[in-house]
Amino acid sequence: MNNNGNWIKWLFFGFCSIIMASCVDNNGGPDKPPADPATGILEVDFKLPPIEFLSDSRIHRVQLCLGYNQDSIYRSLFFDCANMSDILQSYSFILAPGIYYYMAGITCSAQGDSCSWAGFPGGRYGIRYSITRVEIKAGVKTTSSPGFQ
Amino acid sequence: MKKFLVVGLIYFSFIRCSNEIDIHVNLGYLPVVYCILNLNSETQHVRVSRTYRSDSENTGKPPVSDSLIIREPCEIYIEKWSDEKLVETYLFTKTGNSKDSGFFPVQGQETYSSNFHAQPLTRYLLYVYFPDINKVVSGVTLTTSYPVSEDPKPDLPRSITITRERGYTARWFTVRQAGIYQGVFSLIYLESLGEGTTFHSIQWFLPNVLNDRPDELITQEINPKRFFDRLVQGIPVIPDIQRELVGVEFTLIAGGEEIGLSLRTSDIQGFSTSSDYTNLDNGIGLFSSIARTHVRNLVFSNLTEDAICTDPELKFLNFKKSGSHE
Repeated sequence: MNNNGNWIKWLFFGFCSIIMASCVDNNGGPDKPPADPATGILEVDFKLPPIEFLSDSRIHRVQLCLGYNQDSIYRSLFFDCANMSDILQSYSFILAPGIYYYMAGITCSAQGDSCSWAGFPGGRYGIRYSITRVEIKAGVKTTSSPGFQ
Repeated sequence: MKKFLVVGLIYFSFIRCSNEIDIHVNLGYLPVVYCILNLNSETQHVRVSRTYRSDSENTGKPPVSDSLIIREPCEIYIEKWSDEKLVETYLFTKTGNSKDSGFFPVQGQETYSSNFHAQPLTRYLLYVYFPDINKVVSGVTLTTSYPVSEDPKPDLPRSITITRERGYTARWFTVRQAGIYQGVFSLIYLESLGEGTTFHSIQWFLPNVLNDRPDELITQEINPKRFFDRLVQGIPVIPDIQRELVGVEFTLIAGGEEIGLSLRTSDIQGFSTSSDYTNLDNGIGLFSSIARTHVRNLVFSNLTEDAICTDPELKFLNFKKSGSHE
Protein backbone atom coordinates (compact mmCIF):
# COMPACT_ATOMS: atom_id res chain seq x y z
CA MET A 1 0.00 0.00 0.00
CA ASN A 2 2.87 2.33 1.00
CA ASN A 3 4.88 1.49 -2.12
CA ASN A 4 1.81 2.03 -4.23
CA GLY A 5 1.33 5.49 -2.62
CA ASN A 6 4.98 6.45 -3.29
CA TRP A 7 4.63 5.41 -6.89
CA ILE A 8 1.61 7.69 -7.32
CA LYS A 9 3.45 10.53 -5.53
CA TRP A 10 6.49 10.28 -7.84
CA LEU A 11 4.22 10.09 -10.86
CA PHE A 12 2.47 13.27 -9.67
CA PHE A 13 5.80 15.09 -9.10
CA GLY A 14 7.02 13.97 -12.51
CA PHE A 15 3.86 15.22 -14.16
CA CYS A 16 4.15 18.59 -12.37
CA SER A 17 7.80 19.02 -13.39
CA ILE A 18 6.89 18.37 -17.03
CA ILE A 19 4.14 20.99 -16.81
CA MET A 20 6.51 23.48 -15.13
CA ALA A 21 9.22 22.88 -17.70
CA SER A 22 6.80 23.57 -20.53
CA CYS A 23 6.09 27.00 -19.05
CA VAL A 24 9.71 28.16 -19.27
CA ASP A 25 10.16 30.85 -21.93
CA ASN A 26 12.78 29.65 -24.35
CA ASN A 27 12.02 32.14 -27.07
CA GLY A 28 15.48 33.65 -26.92
CA GLY A 29 15.09 37.31 -26.14
CA PRO A 30 18.05 39.60 -26.61
CA ASP A 31 19.49 38.82 -23.17
CA LYS A 32 19.17 35.07 -23.43
CA PRO A 33 20.89 32.53 -25.63
CA PRO A 34 18.80 31.81 -28.72
CA ALA A 35 16.27 28.99 -28.55
CA ASP A 36 17.88 27.32 -31.53
CA PRO A 37 21.41 26.32 -30.44
CA ALA A 38 22.47 26.49 -34.08
CA THR A 39 21.97 30.26 -34.13
CA GLY A 40 23.58 33.21 -32.42
CA ILE A 41 22.50 36.74 -31.53
CA LEU A 42 23.89 39.93 -32.95
CA GLU A 43 23.22 42.83 -30.64
CA VAL A 44 24.04 46.19 -32.16
CA ASP A 45 24.68 48.81 -29.53
CA PHE A 46 23.79 51.75 -31.74
CA LYS A 47 25.25 54.63 -29.76
CA LEU A 48 24.98 58.04 -31.35
CA PRO A 49 28.43 59.50 -31.79
CA PRO A 50 29.19 62.83 -30.12
CA ILE A 51 29.47 65.43 -32.85
CA GLU A 52 30.97 68.80 -32.16
CA PHE A 53 28.53 71.75 -32.21
CA LEU A 54 25.50 69.45 -32.51
CA SER A 55 23.23 68.60 -29.59
CA ASP A 56 22.30 64.93 -29.14
CA SER A 57 18.68 65.64 -29.91
CA ARG A 58 19.66 66.71 -33.44
CA ILE A 59 21.28 63.39 -34.34
CA HIS A 60 19.05 60.45 -35.24
CA ARG A 61 19.44 56.79 -36.13
CA VAL A 62 17.92 56.18 -39.54
CA GLN A 63 19.17 52.83 -40.80
CA LEU A 64 20.46 49.49 -39.56
CA CYS A 65 20.47 46.81 -42.23
CA LEU A 66 22.23 43.47 -42.59
CA GLY A 67 23.90 41.97 -45.65
CA TYR A 68 25.82 38.78 -46.34
CA ASN A 69 28.87 40.56 -47.74
CA GLN A 70 30.27 44.00 -48.45
CA ASP A 71 29.12 43.93 -52.04
CA SER A 72 25.50 43.31 -51.08
CA ILE A 73 25.72 46.16 -48.56
CA TYR A 74 26.95 48.59 -51.23
CA ARG A 75 24.12 47.45 -53.53
CA SER A 76 21.52 47.82 -50.75
CA LEU A 77 20.67 44.12 -51.04
CA PHE A 78 19.85 43.61 -47.39
CA PHE A 79 18.24 40.54 -45.91
CA ASP A 80 16.96 42.30 -42.78
CA CYS A 81 16.55 45.84 -41.51
CA ALA A 82 15.56 46.98 -38.04
CA ASN A 83 13.09 49.81 -37.53
CA MET A 84 15.03 52.72 -36.10
CA SER A 85 14.08 54.84 -33.12
CA ASP A 86 15.63 57.70 -31.21
CA ILE A 87 14.54 56.00 -28.02
CA LEU A 88 16.04 52.53 -28.55
CA GLN A 89 19.79 52.09 -28.56
CA SER A 90 20.04 48.31 -28.72
CA TYR A 91 18.86 46.21 -31.69
CA SER A 92 19.03 42.42 -31.86
CA PHE A 93 19.06 39.93 -34.72
CA ILE A 94 19.01 36.13 -34.50
CA LEU A 95 21.36 34.75 -37.13
CA ALA A 96 22.94 31.53 -38.31
CA PRO A 97 26.67 31.33 -37.57
CA GLY A 98 28.83 33.11 -40.12
CA ILE A 99 30.23 36.42 -41.25
CA TYR A 100 27.84 39.33 -41.75
CA TYR A 101 28.06 43.01 -42.51
CA TYR A 102 25.72 45.69 -41.29
CA MET A 103 25.21 49.23 -42.44
CA ALA A 104 24.24 51.85 -39.88
CA GLY A 105 23.08 55.31 -40.83
CA ILE A 106 22.62 58.51 -38.85
CA THR A 107 21.20 61.85 -39.88
CA CYS A 108 21.13 65.39 -38.60
CA SER A 109 18.08 67.63 -38.09
CA ALA A 110 19.80 70.86 -37.05
CA GLN A 111 18.91 74.12 -38.78
CA GLY A 112 21.17 76.22 -40.96
CA ASP A 113 24.50 74.83 -42.13
CA SER A 114 25.31 72.98 -38.89
CA CYS A 115 24.67 69.59 -40.51
CA SER A 116 27.01 70.38 -43.41
CA TRP A 117 29.73 71.46 -40.99
CA ALA A 118 29.21 68.21 -39.08
CA GLY A 119 29.90 66.21 -42.23
CA PHE A 120 26.40 65.17 -43.22
CA PRO A 121 26.39 65.14 -47.03
CA GLY A 122 23.86 67.59 -48.41
CA GLY A 123 23.33 69.20 -45.02
CA ARG A 124 20.09 68.73 -43.12
CA TYR A 125 18.76 65.12 -43.26
CA GLY A 126 21.86 63.98 -45.13
CA ILE A 127 22.96 60.52 -43.99
CA ARG A 128 26.35 59.37 -42.71
CA TYR A 129 26.92 55.63 -43.02
CA SER A 130 29.13 53.12 -41.30
CA ILE A 131 29.73 49.50 -42.36
CA THR A 132 30.80 46.95 -39.77
CA ARG A 133 31.83 43.30 -40.11
CA VAL A 134 30.70 40.82 -37.45
CA GLU A 135 31.14 37.12 -36.89
CA ILE A 136 28.27 35.22 -35.34
CA LYS A 137 28.88 32.00 -33.44
CA ALA A 138 26.30 29.42 -32.47
CA GLY A 139 24.77 29.95 -29.04
CA VAL A 140 26.71 33.17 -28.47
CA LYS A 141 25.55 36.77 -28.23
CA THR A 142 27.89 39.05 -30.13
CA THR A 143 27.75 42.74 -29.31
CA SER A 144 28.92 45.30 -31.82
CA SER A 145 28.78 49.05 -32.23
CA PRO A 146 28.91 50.96 -35.50
CA GLY A 147 32.02 53.08 -35.81
CA PHE A 148 31.30 56.53 -37.17
CA GLN A 149 34.31 58.63 -38.06
CA MET B 1 -55.90 102.70 6.58
CA LYS B 2 -52.50 102.51 8.27
CA LYS B 3 -53.05 98.80 8.81
CA PHE B 4 -53.64 98.25 5.08
CA LEU B 5 -50.54 100.31 4.25
CA VAL B 6 -48.35 98.23 6.60
CA VAL B 7 -49.77 94.93 5.32
CA GLY B 8 -49.30 96.14 1.73
CA LEU B 9 -45.68 97.13 2.35
CA ILE B 10 -44.92 93.77 3.97
CA TYR B 11 -46.58 91.96 1.04
CA PHE B 12 -44.58 93.91 -1.59
CA SER B 13 -41.34 93.43 0.30
CA PHE B 14 -41.69 89.65 -0.24
CA ILE B 15 -42.19 90.03 -3.95
CA ARG B 16 -38.79 90.16 -5.67
CA CYS B 17 -37.83 90.66 -9.25
CA SER B 18 -36.30 87.53 -10.79
CA ASN B 19 -34.49 87.14 -14.06
CA GLU B 20 -33.11 83.68 -13.33
CA ILE B 21 -33.77 80.79 -15.61
CA ASP B 22 -35.14 77.68 -14.06
CA ILE B 23 -32.73 75.22 -15.47
CA HIS B 24 -34.44 72.21 -13.96
CA VAL B 25 -37.60 72.23 -16.03
CA ASN B 26 -39.15 68.81 -16.03
CA LEU B 27 -39.88 67.94 -19.65
CA GLY B 28 -40.02 64.18 -19.30
CA TYR B 29 -36.86 63.92 -21.36
CA LEU B 30 -33.35 65.31 -21.36
CA PRO B 31 -31.59 67.15 -24.14
CA VAL B 32 -28.67 65.19 -25.59
CA VAL B 33 -25.84 67.39 -26.78
CA TYR B 34 -22.60 66.31 -28.40
CA CYS B 35 -19.79 68.70 -29.24
CA ILE B 36 -16.28 67.47 -29.93
CA LEU B 37 -14.08 70.46 -30.78
CA ASN B 38 -11.80 69.46 -33.63
CA LEU B 39 -8.44 71.23 -33.29
CA ASN B 40 -7.62 70.40 -36.92
CA SER B 41 -10.75 72.00 -38.35
CA GLU B 42 -11.92 75.54 -39.00
CA THR B 43 -15.55 74.52 -38.38
CA GLN B 44 -16.98 73.14 -35.15
CA HIS B 45 -20.26 71.26 -34.80
CA VAL B 46 -22.85 70.64 -32.12
CA ARG B 47 -25.51 67.98 -32.43
CA VAL B 48 -28.71 68.31 -30.44
CA SER B 49 -31.22 65.61 -29.78
CA ARG B 50 -33.13 64.18 -26.83
CA THR B 51 -33.42 61.05 -24.78
CA TYR B 52 -36.26 58.66 -25.39
CA ARG B 53 -38.06 56.20 -23.22
CA SER B 54 -37.81 52.77 -24.75
CA ASP B 55 -40.78 50.50 -24.86
CA SER B 56 -40.01 47.55 -22.61
CA GLU B 57 -41.70 45.21 -25.10
CA ASN B 58 -39.52 46.44 -27.96
CA THR B 59 -36.09 46.20 -26.36
CA GLY B 60 -33.40 46.10 -29.01
CA LYS B 61 -35.58 47.57 -31.72
CA PRO B 62 -34.88 51.03 -33.13
CA PRO B 63 -37.00 53.81 -31.59
CA VAL B 64 -39.87 55.53 -33.39
CA SER B 65 -38.29 57.73 -36.02
CA ASP B 66 -39.08 61.13 -34.48
CA SER B 67 -38.65 60.26 -30.82
CA LEU B 68 -35.07 61.60 -30.78
CA ILE B 69 -35.86 64.96 -32.33
CA ILE B 70 -36.05 67.87 -29.98
CA ARG B 71 -38.82 70.24 -31.14
CA GLU B 72 -37.94 73.27 -29.07
CA PRO B 73 -35.76 75.87 -30.85
CA CYS B 74 -32.39 76.52 -29.26
CA GLU B 75 -29.58 79.04 -29.28
CA ILE B 76 -26.06 77.68 -29.08
CA TYR B 77 -22.85 79.46 -28.33
CA ILE B 78 -19.36 78.63 -27.10
CA GLU B 79 -17.21 80.94 -25.04
CA LYS B 80 -13.43 80.91 -25.14
CA TRP B 81 -11.80 81.77 -21.82
CA SER B 82 -8.23 82.64 -21.01
CA ASP B 83 -6.81 83.63 -17.61
CA GLU B 84 -10.32 83.74 -16.15
CA LYS B 85 -11.39 86.25 -18.80
CA LEU B 86 -13.89 85.80 -21.60
CA VAL B 87 -11.94 86.18 -24.82
CA GLU B 88 -14.47 85.44 -27.53
CA THR B 89 -17.97 84.10 -28.10
CA TYR B 90 -18.86 81.94 -31.09
CA LEU B 91 -22.49 81.66 -32.17
CA PHE B 92 -23.70 78.51 -33.87
CA THR B 93 -26.19 78.37 -36.71
CA LYS B 94 -28.34 75.48 -37.82
CA THR B 95 -26.60 73.64 -40.63
CA GLY B 96 -28.56 70.54 -41.19
CA ASN B 97 -30.35 67.51 -40.04
CA SER B 98 -29.25 64.99 -42.59
CA LYS B 99 -29.90 61.39 -41.88
CA ASP B 100 -27.36 59.52 -39.82
CA SER B 101 -26.48 55.89 -40.24
CA GLY B 102 -26.58 53.06 -37.74
CA PHE B 103 -29.08 52.16 -35.05
CA PHE B 104 -30.83 55.55 -35.21
CA PRO B 105 -31.64 56.08 -38.89
CA VAL B 106 -33.48 59.27 -38.09
CA GLN B 107 -34.05 62.36 -40.13
CA GLY B 108 -34.09 65.60 -38.24
CA GLN B 109 -31.41 65.41 -35.55
CA GLU B 110 -30.21 68.96 -35.66
CA THR B 111 -26.63 69.93 -36.30
CA TYR B 112 -25.32 73.42 -35.62
CA SER B 113 -21.99 74.81 -36.81
CA SER B 114 -19.69 77.73 -36.20
CA ASN B 115 -16.52 78.71 -38.00
CA PHE B 116 -13.61 79.03 -35.60
CA HIS B 117 -10.34 77.31 -34.91
CA ALA B 118 -10.22 75.76 -31.46
CA GLN B 119 -6.92 76.19 -29.66
CA PRO B 120 -5.10 73.51 -27.65
CA LEU B 121 -5.08 73.66 -23.84
CA THR B 122 -7.78 76.33 -23.81
CA ARG B 123 -10.94 76.50 -21.73
CA TYR B 124 -14.24 76.55 -23.66
CA LEU B 125 -17.76 76.80 -22.25
CA LEU B 126 -20.73 75.46 -24.17
CA TYR B 127 -24.28 76.79 -23.74
CA VAL B 128 -27.38 75.39 -25.40
CA TYR B 129 -30.33 77.60 -24.48
CA PHE B 130 -33.96 76.61 -25.12
CA PRO B 131 -35.84 79.94 -24.85
CA ASP B 132 -39.34 78.47 -25.08
CA ILE B 133 -38.82 76.40 -21.97
CA ASN B 134 -36.14 78.52 -20.27
CA LYS B 135 -33.70 75.67 -20.13
CA VAL B 136 -29.91 75.80 -20.49
CA VAL B 137 -27.62 72.86 -21.07
CA SER B 138 -24.03 73.80 -20.33
CA GLY B 139 -20.61 72.27 -20.13
CA VAL B 140 -16.96 73.13 -19.90
CA THR B 141 -13.86 71.56 -21.40
CA LEU B 142 -10.14 72.22 -21.43
CA THR B 143 -9.00 71.18 -24.89
CA THR B 144 -6.37 68.55 -25.48
CA SER B 145 -2.98 69.33 -27.00
CA TYR B 146 -1.65 67.85 -30.22
CA PRO B 147 -0.20 64.37 -29.74
CA VAL B 148 3.49 63.87 -30.51
CA SER B 149 4.53 60.83 -32.51
CA GLU B 150 7.97 59.48 -31.65
CA ASP B 151 7.95 56.48 -34.01
CA PRO B 152 7.33 57.11 -36.80
CA LYS B 153 8.95 60.51 -36.46
CA PRO B 154 8.17 63.18 -39.04
CA ASP B 155 10.71 64.31 -41.66
CA LEU B 156 13.48 61.81 -40.91
CA PRO B 157 14.79 59.73 -43.86
CA ARG B 158 13.81 56.42 -42.29
CA SER B 159 12.00 53.55 -43.92
CA ILE B 160 9.57 51.15 -42.27
CA THR B 161 10.26 47.44 -42.48
CA ILE B 162 7.40 45.01 -41.97
CA THR B 163 7.94 41.43 -43.11
CA ARG B 164 6.45 38.14 -41.99
CA GLU B 165 9.21 37.99 -39.37
CA ARG B 166 9.42 41.65 -38.38
CA GLY B 167 6.71 43.88 -37.02
CA TYR B 168 6.76 47.58 -36.32
CA THR B 169 6.50 49.43 -33.04
CA ALA B 170 4.67 52.74 -32.95
CA ARG B 171 5.62 54.99 -30.04
CA TRP B 172 4.33 58.29 -28.78
CA PHE B 173 4.26 60.43 -25.69
CA THR B 174 1.00 61.20 -23.96
CA VAL B 175 0.04 64.85 -23.77
CA ARG B 176 -1.86 67.12 -21.38
CA GLN B 177 -5.67 67.05 -21.25
CA ALA B 178 -5.97 63.93 -23.41
CA GLY B 179 -7.62 60.74 -22.20
CA ILE B 180 -7.59 58.47 -25.21
CA TYR B 181 -5.35 57.85 -28.22
CA GLN B 182 -5.54 55.97 -31.46
CA GLY B 183 -2.96 55.49 -34.18
CA VAL B 184 -3.98 54.90 -37.79
CA PHE B 185 -1.64 53.76 -40.54
CA SER B 186 -2.63 54.42 -44.15
CA LEU B 187 -0.91 52.60 -46.95
CA ILE B 188 -1.15 54.52 -50.21
CA TYR B 189 -0.80 52.71 -53.51
CA LEU B 190 -1.37 53.22 -57.22
CA GLU B 191 -3.58 51.01 -59.33
CA SER B 192 -3.08 50.77 -63.09
CA LEU B 193 -5.60 49.02 -65.26
CA GLY B 194 -5.51 49.65 -68.99
CA GLU B 195 -5.03 53.37 -69.55
CA GLY B 196 -6.11 54.64 -66.15
CA THR B 197 -4.08 55.06 -62.98
CA THR B 198 -5.75 55.84 -59.67
CA PHE B 199 -4.61 56.41 -56.10
CA HIS B 200 -5.99 54.22 -53.34
CA SER B 201 -5.35 53.76 -49.66
CA ILE B 202 -6.02 51.18 -47.03
CA GLN B 203 -6.10 51.92 -43.30
CA TRP B 204 -5.37 49.85 -40.30
CA PHE B 205 -6.33 51.11 -36.90
CA LEU B 206 -4.32 50.42 -33.78
CA PRO B 207 -6.36 49.66 -30.66
CA ASN B 208 -7.47 52.56 -28.48
CA VAL B 209 -5.18 53.48 -25.60
CA LEU B 210 -6.81 54.99 -22.53
CA ASN B 211 -4.33 57.13 -20.63
CA ASP B 212 -4.84 60.49 -18.92
CA ARG B 213 -1.32 60.98 -17.55
CA PRO B 214 0.92 63.28 -19.61
CA ASP B 215 4.51 62.61 -20.72
CA GLU B 216 4.28 58.81 -20.67
CA LEU B 217 5.74 56.72 -23.47
CA ILE B 218 3.16 54.51 -25.17
CA THR B 219 4.28 51.66 -27.40
CA GLN B 220 2.08 49.65 -29.70
CA GLU B 221 3.20 46.71 -31.79
CA ILE B 222 2.01 46.13 -35.31
CA ASN B 223 1.82 42.41 -35.59
CA PRO B 224 3.16 41.42 -39.04
CA LYS B 225 0.55 38.72 -39.51
CA ARG B 226 -2.26 41.19 -38.83
CA PHE B 227 -0.67 43.66 -41.22
CA PHE B 228 -0.52 41.11 -44.04
CA ASP B 229 -4.02 39.82 -43.25
CA ARG B 230 -5.37 43.38 -43.44
CA LEU B 231 -3.89 43.78 -46.92
CA VAL B 232 -5.38 40.46 -48.05
CA GLN B 233 -8.81 41.39 -46.70
CA GLY B 234 -8.82 45.04 -47.70
CA ILE B 235 -7.45 45.00 -51.25
CA PRO B 236 -9.51 43.20 -53.88
CA VAL B 237 -7.93 40.75 -56.29
CA ILE B 238 -8.44 42.15 -59.80
CA PRO B 239 -6.95 40.24 -62.76
CA ASP B 240 -4.46 42.16 -64.93
CA ILE B 241 -4.19 45.06 -62.50
CA GLN B 242 -0.78 46.53 -61.66
CA ARG B 243 -0.24 47.99 -58.23
CA GLU B 244 2.60 50.08 -56.87
CA LEU B 245 3.27 51.12 -53.29
CA VAL B 246 3.52 54.89 -52.96
CA GLY B 247 3.98 55.47 -49.26
CA VAL B 248 2.64 55.32 -45.76
CA GLU B 249 1.03 57.89 -43.50
CA PHE B 250 0.55 57.74 -39.78
CA THR B 251 -2.17 59.67 -38.00
CA LEU B 252 -2.11 59.91 -34.23
CA ILE B 253 -5.39 61.02 -32.70
CA ALA B 254 -5.74 62.32 -29.15
CA GLY B 255 -9.19 62.62 -27.61
CA GLY B 256 -10.00 64.83 -24.64
CA GLU B 257 -10.11 63.55 -21.08
CA GLU B 258 -13.90 63.48 -21.22
CA ILE B 259 -13.93 61.01 -24.12
CA GLY B 260 -11.52 58.79 -22.21
CA LEU B 261 -13.66 59.00 -19.09
CA SER B 262 -16.84 58.20 -20.96
CA LEU B 263 -15.21 55.10 -22.45
CA ARG B 264 -13.78 54.12 -19.10
CA THR B 265 -17.07 54.44 -17.22
CA SER B 266 -19.29 52.68 -19.67
CA ASP B 267 -19.40 51.13 -23.05
CA ILE B 268 -21.13 53.79 -25.07
CA GLN B 269 -24.18 52.09 -26.50
CA GLY B 270 -24.99 54.65 -29.13
CA PHE B 271 -26.05 58.20 -29.61
CA SER B 272 -28.94 59.22 -27.39
CA THR B 273 -28.85 56.24 -25.10
CA SER B 274 -28.10 56.93 -21.48
CA SER B 275 -24.50 56.28 -20.61
CA ASP B 276 -22.97 56.61 -17.19
CA TYR B 277 -20.82 59.59 -18.03
CA THR B 278 -21.72 63.11 -19.07
CA ASN B 279 -19.91 66.38 -18.51
CA LEU B 280 -22.97 68.52 -19.24
CA ASP B 281 -25.24 70.19 -16.72
CA ASN B 282 -28.98 69.86 -17.22
CA GLY B 283 -28.59 67.46 -20.11
CA ILE B 284 -26.54 64.52 -21.18
CA GLY B 285 -23.85 64.13 -23.77
CA LEU B 286 -20.27 65.12 -24.18
CA PHE B 287 -18.32 68.32 -24.62
CA SER B 288 -14.73 67.52 -25.39
CA SER B 289 -12.02 67.89 -28.03
CA ILE B 290 -9.94 65.95 -30.48
CA ALA B 291 -6.56 66.65 -32.10
CA ARG B 292 -4.70 64.86 -34.86
CA THR B 293 -1.04 64.78 -35.76
CA HIS B 294 -0.11 63.52 -39.22
CA VAL B 295 3.23 61.99 -40.11
CA ARG B 296 3.34 61.98 -43.89
CA ASN B 297 5.76 60.87 -46.60
CA LEU B 298 6.82 57.68 -44.87
CA VAL B 299 8.20 54.90 -47.04
CA PHE B 300 8.47 51.16 -46.80
CA SER B 301 11.87 49.54 -47.17
CA ASN B 302 12.64 47.39 -50.20
CA LEU B 303 12.33 44.37 -47.92
CA THR B 304 8.69 45.22 -47.21
CA GLU B 305 7.92 46.01 -50.85
CA ASP B 306 9.41 42.66 -51.87
CA ALA B 307 7.56 40.84 -49.11
CA ILE B 308 4.24 42.32 -50.29
CA CYS B 309 5.09 41.43 -53.88
CA THR B 310 6.19 37.85 -53.33
CA ASP B 311 4.23 36.70 -50.28
CA PRO B 312 2.16 33.62 -51.20
CA GLU B 313 -1.03 35.21 -49.86
CA LEU B 314 -0.38 38.65 -51.35
CA LYS B 315 1.14 37.97 -54.74
CA PHE B 316 -2.35 37.87 -56.34
CA LEU B 317 -2.67 41.58 -55.57
CA ASN B 318 0.01 42.24 -58.24
CA PHE B 319 2.19 44.73 -56.40
CA LYS B 320 5.42 45.63 -58.20
CA LYS B 321 8.71 44.44 -56.81
CA SER B 322 11.05 47.09 -55.41
CA GLY B 323 13.30 48.62 -58.03
CA SER B 324 10.83 47.84 -60.80
CA HIS B 325 9.12 51.24 -60.56
CA GLU B 326 9.07 53.19 -63.78
